[in-house]
Amino acid sequence: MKIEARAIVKRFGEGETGVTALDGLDLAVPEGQFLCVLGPSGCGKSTLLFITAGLEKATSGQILLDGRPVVGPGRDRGMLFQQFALFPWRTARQNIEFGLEVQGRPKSERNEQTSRWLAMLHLSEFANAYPHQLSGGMQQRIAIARLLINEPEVLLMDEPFAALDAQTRTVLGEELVRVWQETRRTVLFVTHSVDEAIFLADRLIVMTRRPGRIKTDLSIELARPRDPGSDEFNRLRREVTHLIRSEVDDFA
Amino acid sequence: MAATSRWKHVTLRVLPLLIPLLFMLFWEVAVRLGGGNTILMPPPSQVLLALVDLIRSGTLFDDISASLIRVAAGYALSVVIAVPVGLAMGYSTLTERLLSSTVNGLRPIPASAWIPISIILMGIGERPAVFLVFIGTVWSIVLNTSHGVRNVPKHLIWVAQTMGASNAFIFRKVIFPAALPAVFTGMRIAVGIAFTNVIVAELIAVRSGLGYLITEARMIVRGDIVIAGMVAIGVVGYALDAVVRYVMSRVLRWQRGLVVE
Repeated sequence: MKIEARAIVKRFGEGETGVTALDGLDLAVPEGQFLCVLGPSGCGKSTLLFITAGLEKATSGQILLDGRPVVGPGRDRGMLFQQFALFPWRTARQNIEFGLEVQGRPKSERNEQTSRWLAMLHLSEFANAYPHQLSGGMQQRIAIARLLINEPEVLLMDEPFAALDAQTRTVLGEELVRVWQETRRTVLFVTHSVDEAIFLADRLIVMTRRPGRIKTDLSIELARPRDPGSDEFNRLRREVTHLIRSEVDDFA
Repeated sequence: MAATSRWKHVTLRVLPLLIPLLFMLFWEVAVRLGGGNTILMPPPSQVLLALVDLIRSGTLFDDISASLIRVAAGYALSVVIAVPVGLAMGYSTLTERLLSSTVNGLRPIPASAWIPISIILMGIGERPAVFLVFIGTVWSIVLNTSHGVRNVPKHLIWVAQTMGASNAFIFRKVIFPAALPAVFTGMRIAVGIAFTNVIVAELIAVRSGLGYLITEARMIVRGDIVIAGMVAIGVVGYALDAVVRYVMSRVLRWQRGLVVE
């Protein structure tokens, strides 16, 4: 298994006022799988991602990566954030090459690779623009290029398209699938959009409301590229929406 | 269309001068009609003549450069000490705990309250003046810098961590540039304070500079020179702030259009 979560418990705060975000979560993700995690807000889906990234410590339990326990953040696991998290003082090009600077690669190699990724994500003409000069969709493209240039083995995506309009969201989703099909990295993608999850995922897990556990584990076997207007897509959409609805209604 | 926009352009240029010009007109008329003592309260025309005299004799430039050298020395000392201290306080909780009581205890003491002790310890001359500039400016730079470091968005640090960056790399390439706008905010506030404090110091603790020009003129009862000195202080202070704003806009070019100045 590429990623294995073993009995992950995460509590924030202590005693009466403490909140249990994750309560003994087990999960195994094989190499190359595109896994979407879907659930109501506050179900701990982002927490799972942060623990896998090593940015957050589990209260108990552990995450194994290729069988080795995760102890902190590392270059093998790259993360994409909902807030884009671009460096505002760096141009698009300078943002994308950041990871190569961390690795101490020579300038000529950085330039070459950065240009390749700028072209891949249709950003070449904005290479020297600062983030605030660009639209949200463009900014997230830069963040995607900045992530993928490091060639991480695992991609952790925390609702990366949630702040974008529907149109941009669809286009970026399609591009993400295209890039993923070329590279076949293992992806953990957190979202609260049923459509997005069905469009992207090989496998979809629906989480319960807090404390988060896995409620349903589905594999999505629709052929790619997927058509959100097809009958099968609609059938899945109804099924998954129903699962989520019952989870929210039980507690509402 | 073209004519309208040209008029608008001219109007926008002239508008900032309107109030000073109207004020001087009112002042001139009031003094002439009032028939008071023009030695104590001279009209602006007389102030202008005094100003021309001060420029001709070179006195004004001697005093301006004396003041500016003190500002530069005290301010440079302040930046060199305050920026590293502020960075350390923002980055490390231990340093913050160690220094914050001292900083927040000394900060409310106004520069004028430091004058007696600085004259006792350093005598009359350059050193108390430079010290007053330093003591007045150091706090705003320390506090703004540490505040800037503490408020670096967490996401930016996370991005660097998940790319395997070391803490030293993150400090140099993420935290420092992200905190830079706050550092500059502190430095800009400090320029204003530096100039104010040097004038205060020169009123009492040293015998040259724009502040001394005013004190001396008061003692020989030359109202026109007092006011000419005030005008010079206003102009030089304005110019200093413009220089700092220019430097800021160059260094923080990436911010253009992002932050409302």
